[in-house]
Amino acid sequence: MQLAFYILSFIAVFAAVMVVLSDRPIVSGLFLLLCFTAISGLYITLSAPFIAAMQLVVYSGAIIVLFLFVLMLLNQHRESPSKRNRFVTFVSVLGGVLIGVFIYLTMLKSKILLSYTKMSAVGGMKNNVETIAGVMFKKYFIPFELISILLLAAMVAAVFLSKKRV
Amino acid sequence: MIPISHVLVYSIVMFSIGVLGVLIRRNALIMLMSLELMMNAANINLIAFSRYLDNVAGQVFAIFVMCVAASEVAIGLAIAVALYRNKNSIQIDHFNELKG
Repeated sequence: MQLAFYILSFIAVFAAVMVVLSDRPIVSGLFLLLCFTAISGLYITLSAPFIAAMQLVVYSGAIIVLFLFVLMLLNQHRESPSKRNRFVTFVSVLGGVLIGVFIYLTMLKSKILLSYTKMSAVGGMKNNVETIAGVMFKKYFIPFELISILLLAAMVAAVFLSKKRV
Repeated sequence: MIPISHVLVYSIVMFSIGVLGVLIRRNALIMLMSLELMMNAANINLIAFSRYLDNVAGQVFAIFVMCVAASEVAIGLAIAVALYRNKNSIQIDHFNELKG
């Protein structure tokens, strides 16, 4: 389980780096597929099988297909060379790395690492779906209904934006 | 026994890669993909804490985050298609009408 976690996280980070660095958008989309699939395996090592299945269905299935469909529709096979100078790119890289370092420092300061250094002995694999459903439909029932309204609004917005005249 | 700090560091790396993708790339679709990477990093955090605290609410919130990500991608891609229809390009540099 431990080895699987490290291998999968390495694959996912490699794929994420390739998504950002790849020259062609189609290749980026396919690396994103690899990244999502690796993350789905990673959820299994963290004993969340239902979330892993949802990750496969929603991300690797629906979202990647949507991305690739739009990429092929827009016919953007190569990115045109950027007009920005190197200084702006350098500052952007510096800013991104600094954000990561600051989150890491905040994490080191928090007390939660001291109390939970090891994975708990009780696995969550058994009755995972029943447990999630029990919590979701009792304690978080209102957010669940709000999410359905959000999905409906997103659908209306997508249909409206895709009409002929915007 | 995976220490929780390893999972958190992994999620931080993932999030930073997403931020870098949004900042560096000029293609609107690649920026949307980087947004997805950042959402996945947040999801990994939620799942990790749900595992280590033995509380299933984190997984419920991961499902909510997935719903938000799906609707965000749908609207974002619709906007990208509409922009492409108007400007014949999805390079973010070409959309500067609102610039002061």
